[in-house]
Amino acid sequence: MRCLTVLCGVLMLTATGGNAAAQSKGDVKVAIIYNILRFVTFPNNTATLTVCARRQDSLVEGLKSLEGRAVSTRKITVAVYDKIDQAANECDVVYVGYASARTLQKPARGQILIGEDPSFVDQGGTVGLVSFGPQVRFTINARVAQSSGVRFSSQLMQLAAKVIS
Amino acid sequence: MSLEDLLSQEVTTASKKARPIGDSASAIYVINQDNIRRSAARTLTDLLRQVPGLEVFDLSSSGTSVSARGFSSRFASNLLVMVDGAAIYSTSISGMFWDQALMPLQDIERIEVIRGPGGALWGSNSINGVINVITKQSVDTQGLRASGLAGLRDARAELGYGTRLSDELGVRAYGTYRRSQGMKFSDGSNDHASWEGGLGGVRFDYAPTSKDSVVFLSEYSRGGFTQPYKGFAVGPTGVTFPISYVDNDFSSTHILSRWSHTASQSLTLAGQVYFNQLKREELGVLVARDLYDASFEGHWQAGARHEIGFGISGRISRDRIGGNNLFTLMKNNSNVDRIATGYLEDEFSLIPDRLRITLGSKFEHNNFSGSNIQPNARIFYRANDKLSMWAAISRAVRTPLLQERGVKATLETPFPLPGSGTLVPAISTVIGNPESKPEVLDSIEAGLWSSLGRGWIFDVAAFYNRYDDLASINLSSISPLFLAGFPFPVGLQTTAAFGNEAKGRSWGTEILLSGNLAPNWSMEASYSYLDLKIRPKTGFENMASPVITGGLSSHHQLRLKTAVDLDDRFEVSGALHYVSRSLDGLRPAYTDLGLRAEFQATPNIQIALSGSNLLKNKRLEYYQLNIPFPPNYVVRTGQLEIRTRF
Repeated sequence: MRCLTVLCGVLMLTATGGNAAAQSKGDVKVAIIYNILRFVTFPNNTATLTVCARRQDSLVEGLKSLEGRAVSTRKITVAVYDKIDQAANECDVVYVGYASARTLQKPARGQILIGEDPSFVDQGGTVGLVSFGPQVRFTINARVAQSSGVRFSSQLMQLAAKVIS
Repeated sequence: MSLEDLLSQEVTTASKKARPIGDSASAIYVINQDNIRRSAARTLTDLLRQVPGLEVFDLSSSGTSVSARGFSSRFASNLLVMVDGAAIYSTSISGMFWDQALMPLQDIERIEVIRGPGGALWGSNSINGVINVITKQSVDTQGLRASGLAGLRDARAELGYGTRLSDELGVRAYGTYRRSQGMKFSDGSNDHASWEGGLGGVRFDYAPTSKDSVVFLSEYSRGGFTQPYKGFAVGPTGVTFPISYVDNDFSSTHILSRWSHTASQSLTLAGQVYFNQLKREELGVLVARDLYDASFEGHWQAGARHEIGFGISGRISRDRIGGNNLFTLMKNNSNVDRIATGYLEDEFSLIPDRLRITLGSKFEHNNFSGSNIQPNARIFYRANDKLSMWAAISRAVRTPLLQERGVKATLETPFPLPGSGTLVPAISTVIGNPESKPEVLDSIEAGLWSSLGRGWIFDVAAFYNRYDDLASINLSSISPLFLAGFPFPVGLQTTAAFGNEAKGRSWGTEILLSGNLAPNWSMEASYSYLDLKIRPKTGFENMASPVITGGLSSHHQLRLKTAVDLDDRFEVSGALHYVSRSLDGLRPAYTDLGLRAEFQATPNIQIALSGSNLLKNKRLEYYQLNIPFPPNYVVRTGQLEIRTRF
């Protein structure tokens, strides 16, 4: 168990009160995505970092809250599409929900794909969010990242539940 | 919240539930994965050296003294050490066999260290603090992870393979091997106290629902080491004190299972059982222990204002000590301790999120020192998001070790004569006292935590402790030592018994400042001060002397730690640690400088070069009179480490 009493992970999701632990699982996923982006080096260093998502996915509203947040020198902008293939090259980050990576195109240069399918990174996704019991962790396909010109820091690699390289 | 905090959680040890450090009413420090990754630590105790206020002294390749707020000693047993919720300290001869804490460092998720009494939640033997090592879940360590370390005096290998067998079930198999050449004597020669050991284990994590999780782990470790022993020999030419070498070995089996359940939004429950078998043969004495422990605890959010924590536990410890007459059990071949405990705590919010009071106590009954109650009261006030304060008053106890209760020890030691310091042979017999009482601590603590902006944190804690019924050795007879063939006495023969004839008081502070000088440049500075006085109750120094004199601790400790990411592949870090001379003046002050550089060769291979104790050839960390071991010196060393993950 991660914490001494194992209560902690549960409390993180259920605690009431004003501290940072009072978050829903969706909020935690969005916070994890935001924090992952801080450890990613993109080949393009434009002023905006565009996060794209499908309208139908439950995480969309949470992702919209990242609008305007800073990642290094870049500011996040969130773009919402009806279909995932509409998420074209202007997206630096594409959140695809539970879509299988097999049904998706390979990430474009400078792009990362984030998904929640349990086999997402095994099937060519860049970053996977995986639930285990009450907690959320992430997995990484460093090979896919490398082929799209994106680099993950060693801190991120260490924190990942799984790294494919 | 950082990514690491999101993935795991904040401090749990202080209140047995998740809570950010700035929201805790205790003196807490957390070693996180980033600290571990950037560290040149070879062992768990090396990692602990960075904790503000903690005293970590290497005695030999097989022994380390780790202590909080004083009481450094090879016999210290007032710091509770847990790995994944299981107490791993020994209650027979001394608190911890630190060299047997062999878990792979790469599998450690975080180490939470509380300075100050933890008795209200954790029970006896957490009188001066709690160290809680939390290892990673198997699902967090998927794939193959390996690290190899080769140093001038040490070598270590760690290996782990984790996989997800299904959406609900993960497993990790892991192992570690370490060897050390030992330390050096004062003249610079090797102490030839080599050490070698390894551990293998398997861990399953099962989460059948989002409300249930189960852990099962099983480990086996074994190893051996050489111990230099300074006895005496009497011959025609007089008395000599030769050093002899004794080969020793150890092994341990550990099986643990824990289930936790979220019954509702407001109620969480957890049950745990573990078995630990420990064997250690040192100087021909076998110390063996079978430990059975079961506990059940819960946390209940009772309305908007009350949070109730509760738990019960039972423990049976069967100890055997024997092999020669150095240490023998006085009564039977084995001794059985039975301990039952319960705790209840109410955290009451007077002003939600701003002011709360925590009242709690542990209740304990055992079959060797009776019942005890360990209450505490804590108050926490958050002035705003950037400033919080806390204060606590606690009573905690340390129940007597088996050695103090029922072991007869006979040691042949060189004894320094008072005044001249001339060594004479002595045969000292120390007899356990079945009437030994628990040591009692009354403690007042206060702390302040402040976020200074731009990621800078200022954290200060202060304490005043009064100890009563501290263990003592009460001299009952002293006589000349006659040996066959010598018409005159060649030394001294003493007999003493354990008692509780000492008391003490201490006060001190621990101050921490940490933050980032630049986005890629972190800095941490800490200073701690300790004043500790322990003395016999009667004032007759020659009849009763404290087992732990307190003299090995230091007034001042200063730590500086910094790390710079030069780019996304190169990083360098350094740590400076000053320890003032020991309170008894026997150990000089020392300053340790450690440097480390890491290069990420490929996305999954890191290579690091590091050195420690760079300012001097060797230093003495621990020195104690009246024990049959020569003082050993920590030496300058360098090492190369390669880590990989597939």
